[in-house]
Amino acid sequence: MMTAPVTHILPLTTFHRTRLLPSAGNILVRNGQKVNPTDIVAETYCFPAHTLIDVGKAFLATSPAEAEELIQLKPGDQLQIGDVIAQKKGLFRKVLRAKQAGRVFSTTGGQVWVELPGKRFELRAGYPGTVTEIIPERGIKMVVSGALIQAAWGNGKIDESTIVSFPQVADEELQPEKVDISSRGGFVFSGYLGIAEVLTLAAQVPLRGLILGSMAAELVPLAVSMPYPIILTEGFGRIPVNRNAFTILTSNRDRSVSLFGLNWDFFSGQRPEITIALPAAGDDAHDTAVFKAGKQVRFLAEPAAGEIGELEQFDLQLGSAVVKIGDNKRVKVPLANLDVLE
Amino acid sequence: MISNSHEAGSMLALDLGSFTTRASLIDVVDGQYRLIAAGEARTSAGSPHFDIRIGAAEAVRQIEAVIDRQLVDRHGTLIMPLQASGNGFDSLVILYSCVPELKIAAAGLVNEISLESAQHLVSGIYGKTVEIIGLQDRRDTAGMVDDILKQEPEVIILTGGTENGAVRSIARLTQLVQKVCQFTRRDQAPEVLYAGNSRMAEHVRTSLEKHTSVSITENIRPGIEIESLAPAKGALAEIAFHNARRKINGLTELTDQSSTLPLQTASGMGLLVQMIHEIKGGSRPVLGVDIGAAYASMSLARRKRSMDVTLPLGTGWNVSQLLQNGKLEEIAKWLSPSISTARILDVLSQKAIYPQIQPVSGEMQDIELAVLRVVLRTLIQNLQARWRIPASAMEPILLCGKPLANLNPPGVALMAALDGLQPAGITTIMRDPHGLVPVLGAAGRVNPLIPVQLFDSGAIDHLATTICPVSKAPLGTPILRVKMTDEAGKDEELVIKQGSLAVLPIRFNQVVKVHLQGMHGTLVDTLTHTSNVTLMITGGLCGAVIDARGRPLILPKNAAERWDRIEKWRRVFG
Repeated sequence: MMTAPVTHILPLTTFHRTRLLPSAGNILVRNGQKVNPTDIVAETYCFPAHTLIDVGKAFLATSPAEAEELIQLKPGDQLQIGDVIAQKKGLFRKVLRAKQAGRVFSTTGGQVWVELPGKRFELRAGYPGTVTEIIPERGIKMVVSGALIQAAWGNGKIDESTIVSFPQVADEELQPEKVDISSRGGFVFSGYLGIAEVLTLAAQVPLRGLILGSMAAELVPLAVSMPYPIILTEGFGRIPVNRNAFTILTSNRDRSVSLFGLNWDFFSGQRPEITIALPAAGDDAHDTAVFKAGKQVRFLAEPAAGEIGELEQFDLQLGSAVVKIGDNKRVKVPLANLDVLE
Repeated sequence: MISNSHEAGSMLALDLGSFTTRASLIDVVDGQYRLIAAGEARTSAGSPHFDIRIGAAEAVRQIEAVIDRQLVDRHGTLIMPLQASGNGFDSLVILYSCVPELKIAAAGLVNEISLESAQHLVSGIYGKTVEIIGLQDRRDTAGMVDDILKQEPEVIILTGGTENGAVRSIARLTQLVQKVCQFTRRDQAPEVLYAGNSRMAEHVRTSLEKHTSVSITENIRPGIEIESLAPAKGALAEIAFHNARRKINGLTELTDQSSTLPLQTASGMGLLVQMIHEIKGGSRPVLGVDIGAAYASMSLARRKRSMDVTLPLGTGWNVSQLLQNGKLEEIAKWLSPSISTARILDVLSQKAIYPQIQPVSGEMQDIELAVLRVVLRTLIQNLQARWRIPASAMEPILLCGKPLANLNPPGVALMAALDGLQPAGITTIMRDPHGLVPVLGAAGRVNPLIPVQLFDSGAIDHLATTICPVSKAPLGTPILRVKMTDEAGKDEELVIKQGSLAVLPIRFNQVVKVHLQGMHGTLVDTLTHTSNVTLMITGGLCGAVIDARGRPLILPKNAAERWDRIEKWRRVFG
């Protein structure tokens, strides 16, 4: 028995996902609510800046206690521009006013620390589904039904649309001519991308996203900077879209497709995924599997990257396997170069 | 600490790697500790199990499958201590590297003194310094606080001041750290490790402990010229482990039975390197290098001082870090000109997604080997720069970690080490195919007999004694005369030219007397600065090797010529 890496490429399934904020924040949806991938389900404010106002120094106070007496604020007070922070009455009247809005954090030692508003972070649902649990201050759990294609790489973006352009064959290279006004607002699906111009052209049209089997790795920096999601089902180098994913995507024309392009994270298990919401609910996807003869496996790399076959034989000690591809072809491969399709 | 082998008995070691979990069972056979069996499974810290115990149990069950002894009960619990039935084992040591880098901020007084020592401290663990605050800092207080907060450090090392030295500056730094902790939710506040002037320890504790957890340890810089890292290393190891427990599900339960504090794999290797150095009397530097899927680390024990460097430059998940650090051209230099940089990028980017991928073609093997050379080079250069030490001979060099130590044939691992580490002088290069080096380092804390007996048991492969003469003579000049006398008294002589690489005709385990005479000012032993050396050499798996290619090793600029030379060197090892 040996635990095998599992990838889901399923025409109909039900799966559960957890979406979490990077830090505590507000949840904007309720339990049972239906959400779309681009819906904002939670928000937080990241990295608020702080300012330190040294009242003692400003008023030439002789001690922190003297400075504290001049402060007109208490922790938690909301501060607007122009509000009085500290003042000295009498003959040598002096007033210190706020130059920035914020919230007073502390006023000890004659020093006023003000917290300024941080950058808003919006957590999107990422999937079309139903909220099943609210995790207070942190996020949500949701259930999704439909087709699921777990992918290899994403450029960090999320969106939904329909696929408006399909490849003829699984290894078709995406050419600039295929990205034109007719594909505006939709996803373009192709086998391989090796031309940088396509990415910039897609942003100009604009497309809503790209679904690719593979891409030249040298395009990664440009791909990451694009405003739309890009998902690779297989990875880098010239690798055709695997047969199962090709079939699912081409047989669901005109349906709404969701691209969750966030990168694979070892610790959270998050990985890029393509979801097609379907009215029916499928069986739960099994996340675990062991290598077993008869299992459907996919080649992750040499000698047949992107191919899907049936595991015929394997040797755990030697770490090798024989995979039957189609009716007659048998390929010997390191077990490590396969994942199990569940 | 248990010092008697019979009291300590058998030991199970678990090395929880970022990709692989390895279990090793060590027990007494004929009065000596031996590796009985080992098992390996995919690490289960991440998806789909999110529980480190599952992979560990799978690795242990592999051991059970080859020996007639139960180590885990039917509930999946480790059987400890050894039962009358013969099932179970007596002690458990745990090593781990399946953790993200620990984010550390360092606050100290002087960059070249306390802050340098703080960086030395960080370099021994899977961590990175995300922010440094010093007295010379020109940022305003709020700016410094915000810059630290933005980096979300998990630990702040607060240091500075020699014993009986400055206290006011430390009080100021403490105030700043206090603000950082106040601005963070208590459950997310960075832990603080204070390793500065002991006079301020109580002040630091009382100022910070209501906001976060505070550990106080001995001053890492008690004097300007004195660095004392050991106590702080121990304290940081504990903090790192507590942090890991929060991130890795099942680690707490698994380590409840551990006989000693679980160690990071790099630290385990560091302990063994230090132990070998001490056993050898501290006269020769000892080097260990470990390359894994996520991290690459190096430990050097030199003049009774322990120096480490750990970088997120594994050959799996983190291989893309090499590319981000502009190492693509360096990798390409070790490859055929027919392999484009675009192809190298494709292969390595795919490997970063699927670190388990095994090379099938010669091209992929070459790319992986080129990566290893560059990782080794980066590590040694980093070690020398960070600890300000010159290049020198090491005896021995231990090659650890699956991507490096399990290369086959063994000549490939040796070649990678010579190209990457570029040792000078006389060195023994060994490899650890069973992942034992870090285990032995950790095991030594429970029972010192285990590393001593197992290291010499043959579980660590002796690859070769390498002689790397240092000479300024032009290429092709004879620089070294070698005279070998075998057990039968038969002599053989050869002359080595500058720029060449040669394998001496010494069989595995054959003991040969070798006299080396440097010519034209050639230095043979860089530790003793001598040109004439006579020594007994025991042949390793690759015999003995003379690497006269020069230090540093300079590859031809012309790509075709360069590849031609690399191919020629490769043929030396068959």
